[in-house]
Amino acid sequence: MNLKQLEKNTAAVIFQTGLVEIGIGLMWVVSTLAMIFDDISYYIDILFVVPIIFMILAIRYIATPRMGMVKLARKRMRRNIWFMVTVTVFLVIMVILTITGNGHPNAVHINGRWIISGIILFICTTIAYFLNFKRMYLYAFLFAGAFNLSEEIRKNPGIISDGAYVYLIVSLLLIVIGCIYLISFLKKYPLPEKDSYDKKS
Amino acid sequence: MTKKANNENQQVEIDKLIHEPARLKIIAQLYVVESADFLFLMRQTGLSQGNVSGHLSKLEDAAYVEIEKGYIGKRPQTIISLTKKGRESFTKYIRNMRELFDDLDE
Repeated sequence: MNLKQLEKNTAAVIFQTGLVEIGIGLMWVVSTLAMIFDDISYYIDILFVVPIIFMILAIRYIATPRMGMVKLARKRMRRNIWFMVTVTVFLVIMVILTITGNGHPNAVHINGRWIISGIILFICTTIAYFLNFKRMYLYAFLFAGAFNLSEEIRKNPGIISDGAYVYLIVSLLLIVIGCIYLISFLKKYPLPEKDSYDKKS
Repeated sequence: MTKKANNENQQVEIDKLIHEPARLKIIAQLYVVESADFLFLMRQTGLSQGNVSGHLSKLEDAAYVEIEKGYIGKRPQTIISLTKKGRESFTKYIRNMRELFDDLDE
């Protein structure tokens, strides 16, 4: 019995449901819409709350009644906080470097596309490591690759004139993967008749 | 269950309450979290409702677990957590088991 692995698996139990994939897939749908309707993208960005609300409600009303509730150990909670701090600090540093680097004569001119791809890779692999969400390692490369491809298509439009198609494919892929996991989860964990501890004397 | 360890006539005592396979699963699951509800425990251990109830009764009687009954809305919920005694007993159990197997290796 490996207690460390048991603890990691317990903390990652939510990822069995596929709801996170569906939520992220919906975020990519919103990104697709923002790319297609570029003129009103500021208004479409408001729609990012929809996937977040979906995930909160789905976890509360679909996942929790089927798999129960757990309060993770304080050590795990502290680790999750450190994770959020690390990602936030990294993002802030990147923003500062970008702002202060702009127009500076000695600034290193790196194609912004690669910086953003790097940020996407870093954030996703950090999520995968800290939250023990192993599939996110794969998604990290999928997301970074999709971003790069969409930028390439925008620069060199050909038959497919809009990079939004790449985002659409990623979103559909994630939603399908999420649904597959969700169906499997619903079959494995039917709604219990009751949550009851019957004390036996 | 006792075993002579080393040459010092030390007795390695294994806690039979924890040692039972189903209860060991339950306690191990509770050990790695702050608390869990009955349903979560049932799902993660793969044990039946009656099985978990029976074992929790024994653990509660030994004051290894603390059980709180409440409600989420209209739905009853049972929250289980290890007591301090339960955690210390499990830590001691792990130590004793390691010692037991270390002795066997020699």
